[in-house]
Order: sequence, then C-alpha cells, then structure tokens
Amino acid sequence: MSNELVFTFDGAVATPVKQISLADAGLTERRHLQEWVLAHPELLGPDALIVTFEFDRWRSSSGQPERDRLDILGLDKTGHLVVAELKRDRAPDTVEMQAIKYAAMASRFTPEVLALQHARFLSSRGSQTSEEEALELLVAHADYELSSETFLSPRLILVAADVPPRVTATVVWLTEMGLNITLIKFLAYRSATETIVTVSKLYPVQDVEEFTVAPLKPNARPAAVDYPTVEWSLEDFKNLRERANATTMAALNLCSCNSGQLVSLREIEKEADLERAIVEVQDTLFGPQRIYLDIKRKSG
Amino acid sequence: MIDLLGKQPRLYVVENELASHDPLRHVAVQILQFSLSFESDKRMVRKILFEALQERLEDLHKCQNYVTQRKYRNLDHLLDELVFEAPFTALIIIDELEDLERLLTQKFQFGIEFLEIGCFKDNEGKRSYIFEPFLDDLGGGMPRPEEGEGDSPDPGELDTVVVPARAAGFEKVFLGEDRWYAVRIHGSMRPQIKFIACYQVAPVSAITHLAPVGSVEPWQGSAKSVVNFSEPAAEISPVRLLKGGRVNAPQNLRYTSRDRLRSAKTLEDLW
Repeated sequence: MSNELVFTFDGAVATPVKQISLADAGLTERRHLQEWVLAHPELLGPDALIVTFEFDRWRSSSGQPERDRLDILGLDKTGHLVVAELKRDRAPDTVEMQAIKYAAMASRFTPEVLALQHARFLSSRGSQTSEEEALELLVAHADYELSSETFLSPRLILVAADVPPRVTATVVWLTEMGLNITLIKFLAYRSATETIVTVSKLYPVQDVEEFTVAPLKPNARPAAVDYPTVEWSLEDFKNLRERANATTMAALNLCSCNSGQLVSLREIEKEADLERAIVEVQDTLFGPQRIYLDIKRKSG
Repeated sequence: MIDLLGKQPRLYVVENELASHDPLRHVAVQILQFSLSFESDKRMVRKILFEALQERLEDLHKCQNYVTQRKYRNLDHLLDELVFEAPFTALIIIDELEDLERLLTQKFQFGIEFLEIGCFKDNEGKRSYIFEPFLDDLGGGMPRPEEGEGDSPDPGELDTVVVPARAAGFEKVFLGEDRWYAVRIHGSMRPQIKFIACYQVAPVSAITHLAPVGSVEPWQGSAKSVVNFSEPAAEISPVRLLKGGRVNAPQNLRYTSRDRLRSAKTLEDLW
C-alpha cells in the first residue's frame, strides 16, 4: 500500500478512495498504460517526444533478428533518446537490467534510422509522414543537433505501479555511475463512480533533486576530471590561427563564453554563418572607405 | 573596423552576435571585456592592427592614401590617432536586433552602434542577405549612383541633428519645454552632437530654429534619447525645402553641421 492518501470531496465531506491495482481495474499494460503514455508523453517528462513504441526490429551483428520489444522510445529537448519501460504491476527485480539492455540497443540508432521509425509510427497513428518530414520533426523538437554520438547515452525511464527496494538501490547506484535514470510510479484508486490514476516521480526525488544528484555529478563524469591540464603555448596559438576556420572560431568563442554549459552545433553553425556573411558582404556593408579586419583569431 | 570616411579616423571593435544569446550575460559581458582589454593594453591593439594591415596590401594602401590626403606623418601616426586618441566605440552586428539596442545602450558610457544582417538560404543553399549599410543615414555613407561622393558631409564634422516637427510639437516641446524627445541618435555620434535644429513640416517646410544641446539622455527606458537644450532655441535664417529638388523633406532625424546650416539656403546645401 502507498502512503499517498486520496479523497473525493462533496462539500465538507471527504471520502477516502480505495487504492487498487490496475489489474483489479481490468486495465492492461499495452492497451491502457502504454496508450496513456502515447497520448500524454509529458508522463515521461516535460519535454519528451514519442518517436515510436513497441519497437522490435533489432538485428544482431550476425544479421539474425532479435525478438526484444522496447516499450516506448522518445527524444528529449537535448537530443538524447528516452527509453521507457512500462510495468503495469510491481516491477520485477531485474527491470533495470531490461531497461539498460534496451538503452544499449537503442544507442545504436542513427538520426536517419530514428526518422524512419518515427515516420512509421506517425503513419501507423493516422498521420502519413515521410522519412524526410519525420526527420524535420525530430530536428525541430531538439534544441541540439541530432547525432549518433548523443544517442549513445539514452535517458532511461522505468514506469511501474511499485518498485522494489533492490531496484531502487540499483538505480541510485547507476545514477551515481553516470546513467540518467528516472523512476515513475503510478497508483490506481477507485471511488464510488470512477477510477483515478496518479502519476509521480519516485526518483530522483523532486524537491531534493539538487541535493542528492548535484554532488554526485563529478563522479558521474569521472573522465572529465582525469583530463590533463596542458597550458597553451604561443606556438599552439599560432598553429590555431593558421588552421582555424570560421566554424572552429565560432566553436571556441561560444565555448569560452559558456564555460561548463552545452553549446549546440546548430548555434555554432549559425554563428559561423554570420561571420561568413559579414566577410562576404563587407564591401557593401561598410563601404569602400572602411576596412573590416577579421582578426578575432589574433586579438581573441 | 577602421573607418577612414571622414577627416577624423575611427576604430570600431566589432562583435558579431546572435539574437539567441543572452543580451546581458553574453553580449554585454563580451563588449565589456573588449573595452577593458582595449583600455588596458592599447599598445597591443596597435600592434595587432599594424600586423593585420601588413598582411593586407589593399587595405594598407587605403591607409597610406588616407595618411597622404589627411596630412598624417605616416602610418604609425594614423594608428596612434586611432588607438590612443579616438574614443572606444563598439559595433555589434547581429542577426536580429530585437530588444538588444535598448538593453545595451543604457549600460555603457562609450558609444555602441548596431547593425542588423539577415541571412536567407534558398532550397539550393544559395544565400541572400538583407541589411542597411553601416551609418548610411549619416548622409556620408555609401555613395549613390546618381549622386556620387560629391558633397557628402564628413562624419567627423557632423555636430547637429535636424529633427522634423509638426506645428503643435514644435510650439509645445521644442520651444515650450526646451527639449526634444524620443529621437534615435547613433551611439558613436552622441559625443559630437552639439546642436539641434528643427525642420518644420509643411506648410513651413524649412529648418527655422537652432538650439545648443545641454545633454542627451535615455528616454523612458527605450533605445531612444531625449535631447535637452542648454538654452532656448533661437530662430535662424530659414533653410528651405526646394520643391522638386534632389533632397526630400526629412522624415526622421538627420545629421549636419552648424557651419553648413549657417551658410545654407536650401536643404540641397546640407545633404
């Protein structure tokens, strides 16, 4: 039983409703729970886009088909894949391993394959969509460039009516090791007239997320702290000056201005485009008596 | 960017920006860092300019021609003037101006100019750009084919803004309040503006009054300014619009010099 208390109100009278299982309510994992998530992807997080569901078109390296079925595959605003595993009842002890397996398999997606599956998904739901259109939709959803590199680290979401402590402990440890896992719990209640389902995030704990997760971030990216610090020599800067193009300079500029933050490739591309545009039209833009010296690489 | 258009050479530190960047945390910080670097190591700035020009023969020739025409001793003299004498001025080139001008204009003491440049790509990837040439509205910008460079005023000589006014505004504000508000003055021009003249629209159709400028201040949190007069406006010999002439009646603020204004009979003599 949950600690959550749910009431119905009629004026000053509050009546507790009874917690039930989804099985008691005659609800199933695929026909109900899955459809709820497809209709309301916000259940997986505020910025998730459903890419496809019940995906089972895997092939092993030997070319043999694999029978595993991934419940829901999504894409978040940062361009990371979202792999959701749904359990109508209490999650089994190995559910996290199942999700990790799917995440590992999903990490081999490319933007083109993802677009193909998204087109199939949308078409199957009544909205005929070509691969090109699907790719455009995916690109438009993400704030960052879609890339196979970003797909290598999917976000995992486990949705279940209950999660055993062994799974919770494993999820906490996996988070400390750098995986991005969310546990979502749903509960069903029955009042005199209707069935109610509540959905809440079990982990990371909503209000204390910053305290529990933030200190663990350094451990989550151990490779970053192991990088050697190498001072740039004058020679290094000279080499950079000779070799850097507009894109490299834009990347260096944006990264230096946004230390510790993600900088999207699209933003780098836009800045580089602007630099190129100014150089291209400088004669008209400034007139013959003004000299535009593109010397950021020297003065920067 | 080295501006050799007028008698007074100017140096602009150009910052190319995207509208998606935070105007204060990103753009303003960069401009501030540039100004601090500029002020703290002017010799380095001069050295960078000198070396850059050595690598660009065409630009070097432009500077050498300017040195000759404007009677500088040599290139070093010109660079000293640009770096050590001219005030620090920034130019921000951005893909969409939006609210940036209002936010930044009031943050810095030095002049800031803004240039918007839009970029479009067709299906084949061919690019097109939309922009107004830099400081085109000063009158001394890009020579127009039908006009040539002939008698364009030197930007360094511009010390007067001419504002168009209807009768009611002219009486109530220009004469009654000794000020003129909601005008957009270029950031780099502000320090050299000493006078404000009023062009009264039809039926007067002439510049009739001139006042010395006491201060130029931000206007109600906008990117525009209010020009406060140090003395009430005085009537001058009218500088009339020539019907059917080359110069149209001013619709917005325009720049000129008091000397030109004194000797002018029509707007043709000003622009």
